[in-house]
Amino acid sequence: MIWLLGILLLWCPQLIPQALAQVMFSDTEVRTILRHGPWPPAMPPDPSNRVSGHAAAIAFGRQLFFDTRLSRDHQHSCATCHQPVHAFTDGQQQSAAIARVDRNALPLLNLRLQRWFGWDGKSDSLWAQSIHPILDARELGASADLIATRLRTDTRLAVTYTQVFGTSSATDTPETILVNLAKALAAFQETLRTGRTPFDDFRDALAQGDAAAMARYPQAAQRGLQIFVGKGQCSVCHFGPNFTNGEFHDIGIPFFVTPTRVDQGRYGGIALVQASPYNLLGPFSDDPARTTASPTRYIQQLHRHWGEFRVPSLRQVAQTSPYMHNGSLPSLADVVRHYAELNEERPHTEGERLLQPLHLTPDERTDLVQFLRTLCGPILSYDGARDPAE
Amino acid sequence: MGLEAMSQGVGGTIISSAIYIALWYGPMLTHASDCALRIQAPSYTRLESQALVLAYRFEPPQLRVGTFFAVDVVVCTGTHAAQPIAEVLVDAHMPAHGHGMNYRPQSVAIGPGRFRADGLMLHMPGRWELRFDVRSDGQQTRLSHTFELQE
Repeated sequence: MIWLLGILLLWCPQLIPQALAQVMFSDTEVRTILRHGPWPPAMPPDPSNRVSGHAAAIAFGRQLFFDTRLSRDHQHSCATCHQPVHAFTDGQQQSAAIARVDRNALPLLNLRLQRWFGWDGKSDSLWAQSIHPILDARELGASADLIATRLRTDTRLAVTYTQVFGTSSATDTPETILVNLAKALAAFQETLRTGRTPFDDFRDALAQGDAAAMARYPQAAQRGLQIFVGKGQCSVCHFGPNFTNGEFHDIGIPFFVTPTRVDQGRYGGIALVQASPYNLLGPFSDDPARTTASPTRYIQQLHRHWGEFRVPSLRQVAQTSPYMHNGSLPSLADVVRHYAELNEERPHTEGERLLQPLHLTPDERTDLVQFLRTLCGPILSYDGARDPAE
Repeated sequence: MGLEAMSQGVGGTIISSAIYIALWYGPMLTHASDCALRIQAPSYTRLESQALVLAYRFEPPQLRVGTFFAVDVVVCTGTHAAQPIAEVLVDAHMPAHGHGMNYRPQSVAIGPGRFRADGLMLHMPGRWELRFDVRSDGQQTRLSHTFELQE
């Protein structure tokens, strides 16, 4: 076999780096792998948020993120469900602040790369999404009036507010104050980013034909990557550098919250974003040209959106268990098993013909999990200058 | 991002010869000069039925997964030369997946036989079917074009 490999490499010298890496990727697989990078991509400020990227707003947003005064009962903050030590999730199946909600907390990482926010995409901007938990009775349970009163009666908060937004909380309406605080929260959350991962190093080595660097990537992860971009077809939806196409699919996770209550998923999310006064077509966007409003302008609500949920990014995925919109799968092994044994008799399969059971062997399942574990890197904030948990 | 044009379906074959167009279709066009010029332009892809010749191009020209784009459409009438084109609707589907786009494009007339559709976004790599529904004088003609949107 070795002499055969030698002849092959003499004939096709471009295969040498891959041969040393031992897993042989086809041209199509290489092209798909390269589309998952380079990392990090550019993440410019949000034009709909005039304080996006502003240092003072980021610092103010960080303070608010951990401030329990945003909750009705002074007991909870954004960090209750989005904890830095859990990659800005809470490790719970379904999150709970004032009361338990129906869904699993999504990580708050690389958010400038997203088009929609929340499992159902009920918000089209990060600042609009940041308003929801403040007002939701099960989460922070506050109101615009309550937030305005607390801000106005705290001199330090009020001064900071004026420094960041250039207006006074004494004269701004409660709704304007609520939106501005959400924009400061968004400015902070935008700085929560993930650094380079072992996969990124492999991907760049593959692009450069650096055999030595490629060989440092574990063999099991390489085999798992080959499944991910090949027979698994995972990369069709978990597409691009952030490992998501940013859209919504029904992958066969039940959407009945109780036997008599359904989580509508994307279907309900579209109705909410279209009706929201805080969407990108509305008066609170700071982008007069509405340059990022195309998704909202052209969105359509279809019956197939029932029970669809957003395709999450897979970056940092090993740190964000449990998985799926309802947190019903405890581990990555369970997620892989779900796809390997996908129920072909599940409802609503007509619009998701791509999703067929993968029938992976036990070794292939292990390899796929090993690959997913290589998508973890350091969590950065303030453009990498500070750890967000400090 | 590559785009492999493969004509199929109702639209029939794509013909690129400008000479052929000039000889056979030029005289039948209602807005002949504009239509013939655009249909000959290499940046346009041409589809045809018995009654219509349609040419389109993407803006921007190179499609990317998950990126919004527009379609510039020119429709030249043949046997229906006396009837203006009322409307051209543009949509896209993934036949193998059983779904279309998550967005509804909006099409507007920008001149005689000319239309622009905004708001298209292809959210997955793979084979897409681009559909043009041309409405004129109470009749509807569908022209389609299938292509591979690569990763």
